[in-house]
Amino acid sequence: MSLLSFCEWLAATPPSIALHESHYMFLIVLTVHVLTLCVFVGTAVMIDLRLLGLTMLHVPASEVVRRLVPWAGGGFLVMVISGLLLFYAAPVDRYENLFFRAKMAMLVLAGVNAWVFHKKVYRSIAEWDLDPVPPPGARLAGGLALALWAGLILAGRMIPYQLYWFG
Amino acid sequence: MRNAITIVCTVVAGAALLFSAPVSAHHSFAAAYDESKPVNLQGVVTQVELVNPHSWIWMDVTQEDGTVTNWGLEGGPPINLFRNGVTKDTLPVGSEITVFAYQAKSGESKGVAVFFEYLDGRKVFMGGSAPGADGNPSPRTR
Repeated sequence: MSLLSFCEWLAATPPSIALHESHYMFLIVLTVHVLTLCVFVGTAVMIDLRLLGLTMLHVPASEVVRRLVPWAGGGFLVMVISGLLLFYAAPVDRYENLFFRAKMAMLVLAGVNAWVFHKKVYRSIAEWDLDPVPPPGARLAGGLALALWAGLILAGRMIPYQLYWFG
Repeated sequence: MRNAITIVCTVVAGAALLFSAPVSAHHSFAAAYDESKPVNLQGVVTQVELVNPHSWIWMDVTQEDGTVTNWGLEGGPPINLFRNGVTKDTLPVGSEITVFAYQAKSGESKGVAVFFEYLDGRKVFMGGSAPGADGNPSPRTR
């Protein structure tokens, strides 16, 4: 079964059609997606700026991470669930959408970036926890994350415009 | 000093909001459709997609030379059309309607509709991003 035929099958399921044609539910899910995006990216940006040595320079990096990760994680979880529902409302449209594909590619890269940071750089946090400006590896991870999330939001906002420009 | 900065920021943000409001009201319209290309179309409905985020009505329009073109006309979200009385039952496939719309910048047979009219004269606003689609008679003064 190809990805496209899976999306076609998904689009024909009754809950998908109900969500796509709903009066309020789609708009509520869309609103939740944007609000939890703000919670997630808002807190993730503060972590990334600390890793870049640009804010809270005299707070240990580990403390910034420890205090903000629960908020970023909670926001991320609800953001992903609402995002899955938005995909489920129009699977074939999303599958064919260039901006959506770019967004998913950047999501994977952002995941890899976070995983590498956690496995490599964060292991040695004790050595640089109190440094106002963390080592190059941490700065790279922070900078990459900032760029990827900015790109992700931009691609997400562009998804509806594919219809007009490449439709 | 702090207070002065706060006041300046508030004024700037307020001014930005004031100026951005009319722009954002039209931004998806301006990105795709051309206000200088109004079209009047008469035809037969071939498909009604009452879907989020924007609805589409598709209709076959017969030209003067007898050729038939299928037009796609964008409206607001399903809830806007529902409030104006549009469902798959009140606008079934095969309905004959007239649509006033603005054509796509790309020149293809798509447009964003302001309103459509049944043959008996009932007029329905499409609730989308086109100027006047919300039934406001003077969109430019908003």
